[in-house]
This record gives sequence, structure tokens and C-alpha cells, in this order.
Amino acid sequence: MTRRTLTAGERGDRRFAILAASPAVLTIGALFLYPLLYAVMLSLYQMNDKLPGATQFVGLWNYAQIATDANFRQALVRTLVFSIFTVLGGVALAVGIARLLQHPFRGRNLARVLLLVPWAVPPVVNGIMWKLIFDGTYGVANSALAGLGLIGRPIQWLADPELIMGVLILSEVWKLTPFLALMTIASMQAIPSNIYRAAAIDGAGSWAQFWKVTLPNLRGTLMFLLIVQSMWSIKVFDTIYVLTGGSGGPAEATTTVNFLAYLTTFSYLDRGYGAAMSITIMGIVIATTIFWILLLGRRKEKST
Amino acid sequence: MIARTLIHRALVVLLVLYLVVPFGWMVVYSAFPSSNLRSVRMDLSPADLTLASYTALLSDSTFLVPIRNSLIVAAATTLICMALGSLCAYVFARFRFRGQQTLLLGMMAVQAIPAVVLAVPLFVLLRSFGLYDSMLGMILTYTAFILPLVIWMMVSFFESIPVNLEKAARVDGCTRLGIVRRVVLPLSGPGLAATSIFAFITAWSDFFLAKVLTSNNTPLLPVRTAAFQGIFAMDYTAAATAGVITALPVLVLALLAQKWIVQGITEGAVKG
Amino acid sequence: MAEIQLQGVSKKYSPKDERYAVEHLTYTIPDGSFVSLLGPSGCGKSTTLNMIAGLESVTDGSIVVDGRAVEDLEPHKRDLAFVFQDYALYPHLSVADNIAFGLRMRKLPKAEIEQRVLEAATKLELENHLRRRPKALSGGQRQRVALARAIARRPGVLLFDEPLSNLDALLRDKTRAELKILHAEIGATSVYVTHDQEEAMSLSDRIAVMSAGRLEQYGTPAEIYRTPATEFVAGFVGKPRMNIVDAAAVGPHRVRIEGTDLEVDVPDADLTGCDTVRLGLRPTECSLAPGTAAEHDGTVLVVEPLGNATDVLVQVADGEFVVREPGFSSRRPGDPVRLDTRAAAPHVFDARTHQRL
Repeated sequence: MTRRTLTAGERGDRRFAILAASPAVLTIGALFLYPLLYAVMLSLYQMNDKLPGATQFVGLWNYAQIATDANFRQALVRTLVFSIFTVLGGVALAVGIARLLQHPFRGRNLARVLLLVPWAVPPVVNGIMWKLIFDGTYGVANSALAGLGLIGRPIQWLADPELIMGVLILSEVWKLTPFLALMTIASMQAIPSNIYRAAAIDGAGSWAQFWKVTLPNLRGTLMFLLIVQSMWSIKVFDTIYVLTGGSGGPAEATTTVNFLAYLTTFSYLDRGYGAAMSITIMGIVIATTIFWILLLGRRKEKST
Repeated sequence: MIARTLIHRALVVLLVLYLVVPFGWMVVYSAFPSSNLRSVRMDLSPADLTLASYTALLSDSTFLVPIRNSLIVAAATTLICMALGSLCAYVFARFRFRGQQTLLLGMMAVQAIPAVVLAVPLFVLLRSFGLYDSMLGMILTYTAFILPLVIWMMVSFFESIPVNLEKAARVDGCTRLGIVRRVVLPLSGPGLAATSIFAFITAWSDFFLAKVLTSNNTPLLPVRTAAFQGIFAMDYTAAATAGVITALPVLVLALLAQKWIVQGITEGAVKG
Repeated sequence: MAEIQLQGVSKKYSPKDERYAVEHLTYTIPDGSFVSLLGPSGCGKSTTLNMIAGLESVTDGSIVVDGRAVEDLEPHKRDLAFVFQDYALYPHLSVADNIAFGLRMRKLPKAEIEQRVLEAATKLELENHLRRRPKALSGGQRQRVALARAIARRPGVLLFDEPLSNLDALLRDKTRAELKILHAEIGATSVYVTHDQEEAMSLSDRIAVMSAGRLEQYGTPAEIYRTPATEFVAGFVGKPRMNIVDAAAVGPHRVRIEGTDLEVDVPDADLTGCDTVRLGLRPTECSLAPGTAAEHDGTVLVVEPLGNATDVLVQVADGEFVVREPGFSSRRPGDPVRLDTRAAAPHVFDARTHQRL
């Protein structure tokens, strides 16, 4: 007698599972998926609040426009530059910080706790913070540099298109690297100490141990960090807004694609085009993730 | 050997300064009258320290109201997300079903979506339900965004609880709900704490959605703080003060619960 | 008190998978007896135990406890208690609360709960630890808490999933003896999963030997040891492992070990129609005699002294043969030896079906 039906226990379990999971899934579906679909729909339309009469279905025309949009291309370049520095610099710095804090020393716990400070600071406040430091007229950076006699005239950090990008990169790295460092530290601690002892016996000094033992074992974590930081870098908004007063920077120096999408949708009020741009950005994020996975993913399952 | 330790010490000191000084500077800035700070040579004599900026802001109702609103919205969002999210995460952690991996991956993929994609649709959606510029509207919106995060984090915490404990409870006579209540939740303390704080910080700190989806009726703190600056005029001292006030609650929360947060990150990292 | 009957019990890995984790088990566990499910990893013994407990569902067949079919019942309705390999103690509860957990779930009156907790704790020498948390206890103590939790329920059936494997060797032997005493006192029908055949032999009234999801043999320790029903059982039970070699039939009751001219009488087996068979001889029942270069059955490879005996590994034809000699042996590696199998009870198995002949 083969039983195809479930036992009473399993039926009760199934009921529980559905009841427990549905509220969350339904909420996400209603307030996330639905707007997402709406946005996709919107991107297929030409809809501009400044030209109310001209709303019409245009299919993929918006996307085609994006491909030839010089503004978008420039924003893309800026985003790329920004991301390369923040992602690679940030992850490298995170690994460095983790290395610094790897072995116990007096005060290490304090240092680790302080790593949380940048993470906890709201992005808006982050923007204000760095503005206070780098503002051309009132910033303390200029005061300090002048006080040390290093500059004659105040440097217009935030008004110079090239410098402001640097400030932005610094602010982003400051905010997010410590969190990455914390994750790296955690992963480092998961590496069994026996492997280091074996390496030491094999003649590896502390530097060699780092390269040959620590880094390879961090591969999974590093890939995760690179992906996550890439996502965050593309999505940066609050800091740009505050640093540039909502404008996107002198000569649009810090207008990343995300910010451009915001301007398009809410300043230029070109809703349909803005939606298409946003969805394109989403695609870029997904593509970047896939890029990292392909590059660093576990190709051989039988790893160390 | 000594040289190495010295370099190490120096680097650690640099690290600590790097972490603390930017925020510290903002605190200092907010505690001096703006006249001291107007010139390139700043006047930082301790005698001039004052909390005038704070009292000014905190007695201004246009500043107090956003504080209250943000508190309520963030707290409510956190509670709802933790309740619904934990239950859902438990199901994901313990039950096998079709499409499970895809759903879980989807939760993570949600992080990839820039908020600007959903801004206009949400605007339209909330409008049509009369929830634009309302607390309930913001709570619902934030819940939708933060739920995937909560589920993602709690799944890994729940998975770290030995299954045999739950089996023992089943043999002892617990219903599923009973197991969650009596065995799983008591053992998830650190995970729940870390995730709650994550959720609260995320909801409290949001700027973009708050800006797009609220107006005069339900001002939220990050938007109000950002309004202290503009292209043409900026009250730097007030901005600094507002910045400190906005950051303080979440900073305190993070530092208080740092043990749990670090533990939470540790467990998540090991799994990844 | 409960008799457990398994009737054609099977379990597939998953509904779509054709493979069976456990295939058509049918046997009866008498009321009050102690039965071990013995076998190597992956043989399905834990799956069977989980099915009896209700922690896993049954694909085919029926489990009858005390006359009632229970396959559909939830675990807590089956009146059984489970002792886990890793003890599964609730870390956030005290020892007393751990023991009382199941009793509270059954909504017993408070006074009775307290009494039963104390009774179980005393039986397992835990009275002084009732307020402590599991993490403050040693491995052996935690194991006893798990036992106390099980017996406080006064169940009709007690299930054990390799409870001793996390203990160190000395503690394991001591606890084994205590378990046997406990079973005699409590009297509940006990089903015990283990991969350690010594444990199974010493504790059980009956043993169910399993391999790859199938039942190899179900019988008393004596039956399993003296008359193993399959080649697998013969090789699995008994320490040191039984020597099993290829042999050619040279008569209806006589075989010759391949590659040698050693012949063994097998009066209990009928070899008509057989060509080659598998012959099993226990190391403890064979003996060695010195040989010469011209006349020998094998050469000594390794000598392993154990104290009260010595295991001598001998190269016989293409294979290895182990003989256990009493005391310390004078053999040296390289010695030619003669094999004496007259005192050994021979076990003959069909070369193809591996069944006893």
C-alpha cells in the first residue's frame, strides 16, 4: 500500500509554513514587485510631465535613446570611475584593516567597535560631515592646510569638478569600508589556525602566510564584498545630493547614472525616460554581479 | 621586531583617527558659535563651547516633528519587519520546497534595485490609496524594502540552530508554532538583536524615498536635515547640529549592541 | 508497554527518486526487549529509527505499535522518547527544565512533574545538577540529562540514535553497562541505532543488521555471531573481522582455499552444484604452526601485539589472513607458517548471492 497523501503531521506543517510565510511574501509582492512591473511598463511609454499631451506608448524607444544619450554615457563613465576606486580601493583597504586587526593586541576590541561608527552614520549625515570638512569657504580641510602653511588660497574642493569626485570617493570609502573590514575579520577568524602553523613549518613567513593562506581562503568573502560594494557604489545618492546641494556637482562632475536617473525623473520630470534609465541601471548592477561571479566564482568544487 | 610593532601601533592609531575624526569634527563644529568658524583661521577656544545650536533646534517644532515622525516610522517598521520576516525566514530555513533557492536569491537581488526605479510607481501607488505623505504609507514602503533584508539575515541565524533541538521538541510534543516560540526564538537572541538594529538604522536613515514620498504633512528627519544645505545658502552650524542629532540615536544603538552586530556579521560571513 | 511491528516498511529518498533509502523491512520487536539496528553509515538504520519516531514519513508499509498503526501519527502522539546522538539539550533551559519539557507539553500537574524530574535525575545521578545549564556540564553528564529527559516521560518505547558515539572510549564502556542496567529497571521497548557491533552485541536481545537499506539478518547476538545469514553480516560482526576468502568446492562438503592446497570440511553446507564459494573463518578460531620454506600455507606479514593476544597478518595466496594467537607471539614477519583451521567453525556463502549455504 503506497502512501501518496501526507501524514497529519506533514499537513499541519504545510499549513504552518504557508501561514507563516505569506504575510511577508505578500507584502513584498504588493509593494515591491508590483511597482517594479509598473516601472517596466512606464519605461515603455513616453511620459513627460512637462508635455502632458504627448503621453504615448513607444515600446523600446526610450532604451534606444539611452544608448545614444551622451549625458548618460558621460554619467556612466563617471560611475565607472567612481566604482573602480570605491570598490577596489574599498575592498583592498578593508583587507588591510582586517590584517591590521587580525592578531590580538591591547585596544583591539576598541578599534573593532569603532569600525561600526561609519556604518551607523546615516548617509545624509555623511554628506554633511564631509561638506563641513571640504567646503571651500568654511571647511576645516582648508583651515588645516592653511594653518600648516601648505596652501596660500583656499582650495575649492567642492566646486572643482575634478576634486569633488575625490571627495565623494573618500566619503563613500569612509562610510562603507569598515563594514567590509568587519566581514573580512570574521571570515579570517574562521580559518583554522592549524593551517597557519603548517605553513610556518613549511617555511612561510608572516607576509607569505598572508598571501598563500589568508587570501585564498577569503576568496568567497572577497567576492561577496566586491559584489555588495559594487551595488552600493552604483546606488549612491544621499551623499551626492548633500555635497552638491542637489545639483549633481559642478559641471555635473558627480552625476552618476543613479543621480542622473533621479534628475531625469524628478527635475526634468521626464517620467518614462527616467523609468527606462532606472531599469537600465538595474541591469547594469545585475551585469556587474554576474561579472564578479564569473571572475571569482568557485570554478572547481573541490577546493581547499 | 620593535620597528614592526611601532609601525603597527602607528597604523592602528591612524585607523582610529580616520574612523572617529570626521564625525568628531562635526560634533565640534556644532558646539561652537558660527562666528568662530567663519574665517579660515578658526577660533576653537574651549571657552566658547556652547550648546546654543542644540537648544535652538530642539525647541523648534519644525525640527522636533520630524524627529518624532522618524522615530515612530522606524520603530513600527522594525517591529513589523521582525515579526513577519522572522516567521518567513523560519519557513525558508527549515522547510524544503520548490523554488526555494530562487526566492532566497531574489531576496538578495532586491538589494540590486536602485530605489529610483520604484520611486514613481510607489508615488502613484500610495497616492491612489490616499497614503501619500503619511506615516502609514512610509511604514508600508519601508517594510517592503527592509523585509527581504530581515529574511535574508534571519535565515542564516535560524540555520545555525541545530535541527536536533527542534526534533527533540517535536518528540516532546511541541507544535511548529510552539517550537518557534519556545526553542528557536529564545536561542536567536543575538540574531534578532542584530537584525532589528539593522532594520531600524536602515529605516531611520533613508533619505531618497522619504524625500519623494512625503511632503509637509509627514516630514522625516533625514529630509529635514538635508534641507539645511542648499546651493545658495547654508547654515553650517545648524546643519552640523542637525547631523549630530540625526546620527546620534543610530550611533548609540550600534555601539550598545555592537557585540551582537559583530556576532551577527561573523555568523553571516562564515556562512558566505 | 509496546510491541513494535514493521510491515514492509520502505522509504524513498524523494517522491520522484526511484531509489530506496530503506527497503521493505519486516520484523517484530517484542515488547520490553532491547533491539539494535546495526550497520555502517548510510545503511538506513537512522532513517528507520526516524520513521518509528515519526520524524520522517513512511513511503510504503506500516508500523504497528502496541496494536495500533502509527505511520500517520505525529511524534508526540506515539508515546515514545528519543535520545539523540548530540543529546539535543535545550541550551537556554536548566537541567530540570530540560527534563520537564515534555511533561509540561503534556500538561501534567506540576507536582507530578516535579516528582518525575527528581526521580529520573536521581536514577541518573544528576540530583545535584538540576539548576545548572547544559553548557556547564561535561559530555557524560549531558548524555545522562538526555537519558533522564527520555525516561521521565515513562514512555512505552525508547529510541536511541547512536547516543554513545560522542563519548570517549572509557566513558563509553562505563555508560554502556549503565544503559543495560537502566533498561532492566525501566523495561521499555528499546530500539538502538549504532555502527559499533560490540555495542550492539553487548546490549541487545536481538540485532537487526542492515546494509544499503536492506535487512541482512534479524536475530539474537548468538545467532548473528554463530550463524551469520549473509556474507555481509559475517564480515561486519566480530572483532577482529572474519576472514572471508574465495574457495573452490571439491566435494559436497569440502572446499579448498584458492591458491593453496588447504582444504576445509563444511559438514553443514550442501555444495552440490557450486563451483566457487566464499568461505569465512574467524581469526580467533584458527591457529598457526611453524612451517618451512618448502611446506607452508603462507608468510607472516605483520605482527600486532595487543596484550592478551596477538593479531598475526599472514599472506595466503593472493590475499591476507588474520589469526589471533593468545598472549605474545613468537612469530616474526617473513616467517613461513602453516594454517590450522580444524577448530574453526566454517561459514560458506554463495559467491553470487552472498547468502549462507
